[in-house]
Amino acid sequence: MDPGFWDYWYFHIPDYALAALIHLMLARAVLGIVLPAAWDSAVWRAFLRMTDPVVAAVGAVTPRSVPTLLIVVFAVAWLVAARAGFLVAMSALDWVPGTASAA
Amino acid sequence: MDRDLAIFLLIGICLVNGIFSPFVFVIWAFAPAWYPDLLPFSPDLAFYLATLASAMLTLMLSGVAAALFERITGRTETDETSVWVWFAAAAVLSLPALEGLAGIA
Repeated sequence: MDPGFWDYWYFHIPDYALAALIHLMLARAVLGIVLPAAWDSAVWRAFLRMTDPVVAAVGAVTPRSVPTLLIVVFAVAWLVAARAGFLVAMSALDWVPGTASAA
Repeated sequence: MDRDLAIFLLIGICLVNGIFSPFVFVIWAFAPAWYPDLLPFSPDLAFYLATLASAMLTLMLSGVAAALFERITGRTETDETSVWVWFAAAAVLSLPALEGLAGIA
């Protein structure tokens, strides 16, 4: 692991967590289109359980008529916006690796 | 007035805001924060994606108002009134773009 990772853990950990969530939701969106709706698989059910909290959170601020697949797309957009906002905020505070001035 | 007309106007105003909103330039300026690494960087493509992002953000942010309206009033589905609330919120978000358009016209 990069020795500088823990120097900026407050940046890297949220950034990686958001990136992981974005990719999980993208995968759910694509698989939700490709896979049959009634597909019975332990892996698919586990994957849905991992991503259902994000879908529920976005669903709470989305009108009820919006289908689940579109809620997943909205979730990706919300997470990308959150990650971009996080990066901008950390850059403004000079807490991004490679941009911080020397002590 | 019916629900389909309201949805058509909602999508339309989100697209107008995506194209004419001054916020598009802010999104474009912060492209390094959101531009996908999968795509080769091009300022033109970044601007196009910024307009798409602005339209999508308008739809999503105005949807929050409609969602809150539905939860407060106990609605179990999105009826015509809810879609008009969604449109009204999108119109408020689109005011800077509409003011700019009025200045041009």
